[in-house]
Amino acid sequence: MNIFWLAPAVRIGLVIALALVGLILSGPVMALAVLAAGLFGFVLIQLRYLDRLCRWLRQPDIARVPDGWGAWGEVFSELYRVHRREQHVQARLADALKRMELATQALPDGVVLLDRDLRIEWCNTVAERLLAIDRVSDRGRILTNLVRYPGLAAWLGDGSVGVPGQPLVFETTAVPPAFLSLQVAQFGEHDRLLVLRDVTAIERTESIRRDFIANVSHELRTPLTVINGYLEHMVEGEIEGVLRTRAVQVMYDQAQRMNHLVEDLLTLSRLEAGDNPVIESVVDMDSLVLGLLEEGRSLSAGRHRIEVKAASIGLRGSADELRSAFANLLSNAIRYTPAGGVITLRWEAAEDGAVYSVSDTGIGIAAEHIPRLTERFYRVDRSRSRETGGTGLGLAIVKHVLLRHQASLLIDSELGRGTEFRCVFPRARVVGLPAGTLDPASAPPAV
Amino acid sequence: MPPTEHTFKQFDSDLESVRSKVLQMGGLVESQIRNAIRGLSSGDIDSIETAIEIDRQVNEFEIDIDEACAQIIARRQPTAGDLRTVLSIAKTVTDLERMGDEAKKIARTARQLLDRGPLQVPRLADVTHAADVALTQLRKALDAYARLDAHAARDLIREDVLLDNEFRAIMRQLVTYMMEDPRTISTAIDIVWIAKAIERIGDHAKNIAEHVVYIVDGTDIRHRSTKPTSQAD
Repeated sequence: MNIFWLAPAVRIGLVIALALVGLILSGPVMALAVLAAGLFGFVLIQLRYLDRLCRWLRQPDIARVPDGWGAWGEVFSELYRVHRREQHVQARLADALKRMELATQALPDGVVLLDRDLRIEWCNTVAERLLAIDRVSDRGRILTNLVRYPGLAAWLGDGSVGVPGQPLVFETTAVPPAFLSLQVAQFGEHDRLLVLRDVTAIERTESIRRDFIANVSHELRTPLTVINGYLEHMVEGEIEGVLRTRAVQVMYDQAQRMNHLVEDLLTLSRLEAGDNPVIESVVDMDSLVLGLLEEGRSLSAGRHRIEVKAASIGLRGSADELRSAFANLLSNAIRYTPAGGVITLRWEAAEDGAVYSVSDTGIGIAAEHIPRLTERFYRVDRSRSRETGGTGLGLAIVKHVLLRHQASLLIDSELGRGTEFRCVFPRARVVGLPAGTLDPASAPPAV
Repeated sequence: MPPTEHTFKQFDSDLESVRSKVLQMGGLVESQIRNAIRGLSSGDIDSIETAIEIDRQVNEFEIDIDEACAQIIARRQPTAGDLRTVLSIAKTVTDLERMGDEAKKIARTARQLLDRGPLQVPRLADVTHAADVALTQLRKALDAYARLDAHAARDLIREDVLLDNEFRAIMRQLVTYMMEDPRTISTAIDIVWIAKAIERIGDHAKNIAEHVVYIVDGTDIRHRSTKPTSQAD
């Protein structure tokens, strides 16, 4: 340790020695005077340093720690060290806090800290976005004043809404609305931590599933109602002769419609099943397209001109699935093209693979419907598609078949002008592209 | 007895709790309108019934909050900003309650349309779009009220024209429908009622925004064109 008292002791000793010299030279009065003056000077110096210390303490600044001599120098340098250490600790704490905040910011979920009155203390950026609140300007505001879902206050308050321990799912007031799932945890004495997650996608899937079931039931019930109606009349013996033949025909058509629907549903569920790999073979597109042309001509019954341009390129995949997808596209084109229209089937090489396309000069599809066309039971015009015998599942089947063949479906349409559906197959699926466009050795193996 | 710091604090917390109640009521009305519109656009009878049912709760809120306001005025005799707050609470509650009535009207009309058979409603997409605009305005008004943000409130007041234009466009199109096919008249008239109700909801949202400006600035900007106030900014 430092002998800090040594320097002042020496100085006081010096004053006493001077006083002793005075005593010897001119008696006790002189000695006392010298002693008093020496001590007075000493006290003055001490006071000056005390003053500097006081001033510094009022405005501590590491760069301006006062300097001094003797014991004061010791005190000041000690002060400097303590202060430096404190600053270090503070910087480390601030750093740790900053890291914690960054970590909470990086959470994919929203986090809000609430005090006992449900006032917002802090929240991360995800919460800011999901709840449309601002971390800085909304600090101290009551959360339920800004997020006004009717059940929320009760859920956070007395728990009279919702199941205890279960998250609360609610719809925000934004347009379009989002679904949020909320969980709460208590910490400290009365403070609460709110964790929120965007579950819009999950809710949407759930609602698509519900809609699907409702749609299937509806689609099956409609033909069944027709059949039932006729059967009731027949049981009562009210239908005779020509009417009876006609009734049987209508019932047969409706039964066929139900049959198609169930078949399409089964096809879809087979396509979607995870444990059902594509049965690979090289499909002879020439004969497949010719077969389609035959079918198309008989469906159109001479009302349209159907043209075919097929390159002799093979396609690797499931012949059955591809035929059903391509046939669906063709029958759509025939059904939505007025008599006298032209339908063109093309199978040709493209920049990065090959394209099967069906274009027509039909009624076209408005742009707002195009993104939803492949949804099950999505109909642009309900009355029209049913009267032409569609099940509402055709394009969903096409989409799934193409997905299984790593192909994509592009739709290009203009109202009143016609529509073109293009199925773009990747290189790896195409066999026998014209020489020079494909090196067989570099082709990746078929999946 | 002179008011002490304790009485001031008590007063502030009373006022704050009534303000919170107003906003809770606002949230209820928001969900009521949404339910009514959903019932209309998707034909979901549950949503329609919910919208009608919520109206009762909204009315209870109105009585409750009015009572609380009367208590505050009688007990604390507020002045200046506090008095403005209490007065505007009472007015805001009236606006919210009227919106609730409009939502109920929409729900009832939607039920009639449903009863009349499968929905072949002309211009339904426009109506739901207008309803989205009205709901957004209500949300902005309540946000401005919660934050006492006069600036946002003034912006909102200027946006009121949007909804008026929507309403006029819907009307024009419905008139052409009715002229083309008289069988659509009864349905079209129902739609007119709904569109009108939506437009009224927008008007009440604007009123709430005006109350916010009144609380914050102490200026009454009702029945003024927006021009002078924007200069006053």
